[in-house]
Amino acid sequence: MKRVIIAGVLGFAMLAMTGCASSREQSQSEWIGKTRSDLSSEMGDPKGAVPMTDTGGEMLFYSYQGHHYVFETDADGKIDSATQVR
Amino acid sequence: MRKKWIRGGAADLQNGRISVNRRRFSYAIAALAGAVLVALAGTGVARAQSSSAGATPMLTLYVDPATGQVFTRPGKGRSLLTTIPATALDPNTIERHVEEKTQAQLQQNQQQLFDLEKKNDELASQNHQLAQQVAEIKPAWRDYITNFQNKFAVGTLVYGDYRFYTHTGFGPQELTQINSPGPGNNSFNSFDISRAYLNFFFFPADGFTLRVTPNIYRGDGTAPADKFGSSSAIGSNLSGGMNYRLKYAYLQYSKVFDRLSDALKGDSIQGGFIPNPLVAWEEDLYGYRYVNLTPWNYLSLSSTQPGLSIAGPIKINEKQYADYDVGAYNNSTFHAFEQTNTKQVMGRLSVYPFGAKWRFQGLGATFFYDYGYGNVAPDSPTGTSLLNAKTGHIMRAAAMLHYTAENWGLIAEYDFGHNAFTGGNLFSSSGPADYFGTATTSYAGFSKMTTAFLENGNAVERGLDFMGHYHIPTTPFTLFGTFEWFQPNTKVDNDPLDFQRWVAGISYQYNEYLRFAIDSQNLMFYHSQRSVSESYVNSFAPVFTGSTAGKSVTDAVPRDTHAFFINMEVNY
Repeated sequence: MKRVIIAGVLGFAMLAMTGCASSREQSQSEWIGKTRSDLSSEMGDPKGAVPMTDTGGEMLFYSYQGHHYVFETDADGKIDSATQVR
Repeated sequence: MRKKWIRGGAADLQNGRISVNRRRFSYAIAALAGAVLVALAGTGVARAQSSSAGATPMLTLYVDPATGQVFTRPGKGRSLLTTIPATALDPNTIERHVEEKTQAQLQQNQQQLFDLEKKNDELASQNHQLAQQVAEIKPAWRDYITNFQNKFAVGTLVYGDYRFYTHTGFGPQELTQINSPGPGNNSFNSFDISRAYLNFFFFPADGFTLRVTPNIYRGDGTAPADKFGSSSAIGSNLSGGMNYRLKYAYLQYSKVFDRLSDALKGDSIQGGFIPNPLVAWEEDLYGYRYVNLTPWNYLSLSSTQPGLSIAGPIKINEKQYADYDVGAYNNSTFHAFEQTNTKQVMGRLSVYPFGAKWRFQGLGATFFYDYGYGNVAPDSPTGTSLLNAKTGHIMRAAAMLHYTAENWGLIAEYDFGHNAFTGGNLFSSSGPADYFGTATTSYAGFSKMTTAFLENGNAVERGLDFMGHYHIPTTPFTLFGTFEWFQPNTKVDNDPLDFQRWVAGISYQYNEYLRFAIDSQNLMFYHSQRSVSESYVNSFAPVFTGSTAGKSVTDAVPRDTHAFFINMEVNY
């Protein structure tokens, strides 16, 4: 059991270092306040969409024109977080 | 004509009045003077009338009082009218004077025209604005609807599935609102709707959100028929049909700390039927709630509690470094009425040491703690069963490490609890009829053993879970899975109820509203089949009465459950 936990912690530490080394996230503030429909009109269907049960919003993952984005909407369907991840 | 005018002018002068028409008079005088000067120039009268050389030439006028005629020469019956300096009759001076007056008048007219033009422009502009306003006039109902739309949002979230069991057994529900029969019912299969949220959001004022979310539930259980008259009755319609009940109903204020600190911006206070700090958050972190439940939700913790909480992110320079949710809640769940004179507290703290650019992004560490009591009234008698013991407590804790990237996520969770997993939780999908008191079967001993091990008031739970997903690049497919290892009571040696659950499948994102998944869900009581002596069982709680010598519970390890699911999620 201890070995499993230690292995898990080490694994996560490696993941964290890898993730930080490759982090190229950029905020896309121009999308803040726009709607999910605006997003669909420009970028089409997301490659991933996960409803957020607690907020009533949604997490949207897009691949568009060679770039990748993550958006989060609020309960009103408006974008309140927008990040270009690569 | 000129004479006629002179006569009139003389009459006016005689009467001591000045002609009201100065312009006409000026023209007349100018014309008269011009004529006189021409005459003088031609006749030399001008010279004769000059007083002396170099002096100002004078014009002498005579009048015939009888006729009123004016003459430039004396004569019979004429008397001197006046003597006028010739310069006074200078046509240029008069003309200039007239021109000045004309010019002034012209300028005045032009100013009037300009003013009129300006006024016309203003009127035209006003007309245009009026026309626009008229064009934009909307019916009151349309204004009301627009206002309503800005303050109101509606959505839905529906989960459906088809499931086929190659092996059936007792166990917890794979998803809420679905049940499967116990052992001996292999090939059981079913179409289900396990969730049908109707999300209503109302934004009555800046920062305030009212959420009302009814959800379906299955009306399991039976009820006696209603008597209808002296000799008739109506059968119960409580046949497991789907009904609606309140899942969420809360008011949230999300500007409570906005003025205090930018780091706490967006933090909120919620009151009502609210999501508890762990379950909904973890469902969002995992992302595949439409396929399977998260660990503590699968075990016992409801996703919704009536209570009051405060929650929110802590952000610095647009990066989220922490996320917390803490509150006080009823001991009952949202689908039961509160009976206690105590409350339970729950709190979760998630830390992102490197800062998260978006929700869950990167490495995170989360700790959750819940302490509460069984939902029993204060005057309930103390018994062996936890849920009948007013002094019994319930504790749940979870420690997690999680990493979330754009295309994948991994969660490792360690669970720890006290009295947090009862027979009712273990048998939420189906259990022995003996446990529910509806019949006596071959599982009677097993049922009592379960009660003794899990509901003795001193049970200690422990679990280890892994959840994750990986999106296959350039495709709409994502692999996902959950593994859960759980010990319902660590105090039981080689506990026959220890189990492992694993779920593995692939998800297909059809469009932004639709997801499908095909997966395998399995519950395995992994210990070898064996018997447990009744005396050992009674050491936890005295469920077996009489002599237990030599008696044991046979086949104490429940049978495994194996099933295939096709899941669907509609989110709008």
